[in-house]
Amino acid sequence: MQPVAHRDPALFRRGMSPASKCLIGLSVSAALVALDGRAAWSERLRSALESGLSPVMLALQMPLEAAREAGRGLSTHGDLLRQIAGLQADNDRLRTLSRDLEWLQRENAELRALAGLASDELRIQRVVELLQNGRGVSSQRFLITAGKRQGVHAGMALVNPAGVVGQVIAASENLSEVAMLTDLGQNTPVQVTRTGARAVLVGEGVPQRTSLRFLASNADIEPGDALVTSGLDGVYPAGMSVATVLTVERDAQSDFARVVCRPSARVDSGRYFSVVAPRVSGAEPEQPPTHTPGNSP
Amino acid sequence: MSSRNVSERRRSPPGQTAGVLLSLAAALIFDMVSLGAVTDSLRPDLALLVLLYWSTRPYSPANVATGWVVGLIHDVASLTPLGLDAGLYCLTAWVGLSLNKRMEALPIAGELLLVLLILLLGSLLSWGVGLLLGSQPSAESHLVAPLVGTLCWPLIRLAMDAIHRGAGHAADD
Repeated sequence: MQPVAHRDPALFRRGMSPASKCLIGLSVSAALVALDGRAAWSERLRSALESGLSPVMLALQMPLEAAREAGRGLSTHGDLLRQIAGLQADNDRLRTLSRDLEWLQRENAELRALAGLASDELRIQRVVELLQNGRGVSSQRFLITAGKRQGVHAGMALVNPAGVVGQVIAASENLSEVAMLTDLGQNTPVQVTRTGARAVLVGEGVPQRTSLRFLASNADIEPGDALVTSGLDGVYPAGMSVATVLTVERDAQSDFARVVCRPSARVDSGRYFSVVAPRVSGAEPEQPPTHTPGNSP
Repeated sequence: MSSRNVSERRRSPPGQTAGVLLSLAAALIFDMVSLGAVTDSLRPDLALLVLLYWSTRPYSPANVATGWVVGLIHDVASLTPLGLDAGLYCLTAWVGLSLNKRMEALPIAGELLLVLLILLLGSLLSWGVGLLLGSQPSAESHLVAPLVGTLCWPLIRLAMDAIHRGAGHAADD
């Protein structure tokens, strides 16, 4: 038999010893980890790689979505009737609330106009779908199926009907990375609804747990208090539900209370979210709001 | 095959290169499919297992550079800090290359123990980097994922052996 004459692809060609290659690889990796999220070029590199991977990742969603749709199609007639009855009841309740809300909005607009304040209305930019959960040290982050091309940009807020979920921290062409409220170091300015006191809610990198920072140990706060966005950061519209206080520990040795909270929205479950941007009074929307789950550039 | 000289024998047959690339791509695609937050945190890193398999095969085209590139892609897909999985995969490929034929000589229990050890060390490294970065990674997922990965190893080995044999036959033809 004739020897096989071919060349391995460049990726597989051997040159240096594996130990030397490993050392170089580890050094480059350590530099990348240290600079990830700090250097602009590392963001660009991630964005470029994400753009390259996005067609594969989005294509993978299609059969999964089809399977989910097929599963939904198996609902029985009785289930559907029960769902319709429930939805009708919800609809009646929401109509009543909507009438009240319209009245309050009109009243609020008049009062704001009198006081000369800018309005801070909620603007839904797009409904997006979860694509991929982060793992390991990034378990409190996830990817969504919309990026710059769909009008989603870093800094926008992500919400679901239960409240604030997190914030878009990086956007490539068709995908965006979201840091949940629980992501390590994710700061959210909040207000205690009962007292009106302002504080900063900080993620700890632990599922379904956040804490309030720099709240004086004698502050008027107790378990069960509801926290809403204060709107001071310009990212989240004011008044959105954020979290509920779980425990308050006051230590005589410390000037600050240890306040542990649970996010109102189940930030690690659910597939669909709304990307919202606060609208400054008088400003026109950049793009008309769309309501298309999934990716459709 | 006997007519090949040593340097030619060290080269991998073209079918095997394709087999390695396709199996790594398939493993990466599997890793990209989201199965829910809880399942995602506990399931094994399939691309790492496939890389470990290929790096322990004699004359396999998979090497440290392959590991680094696959790890970098995995970093992007799993949202981990850029370079974390790249380093881990690179190290795993090097360990695999160092073990090479010795792994084949071990009984299955010994092989499983070795795989568990490699996966646990990788998990420990990832956990340590997480702590250095200031997060509080869950210890359970860092223990469970290597255990599940070890249990999956015999299946992965069966599948990869089939690809390995198929690629060998294709090269002989």
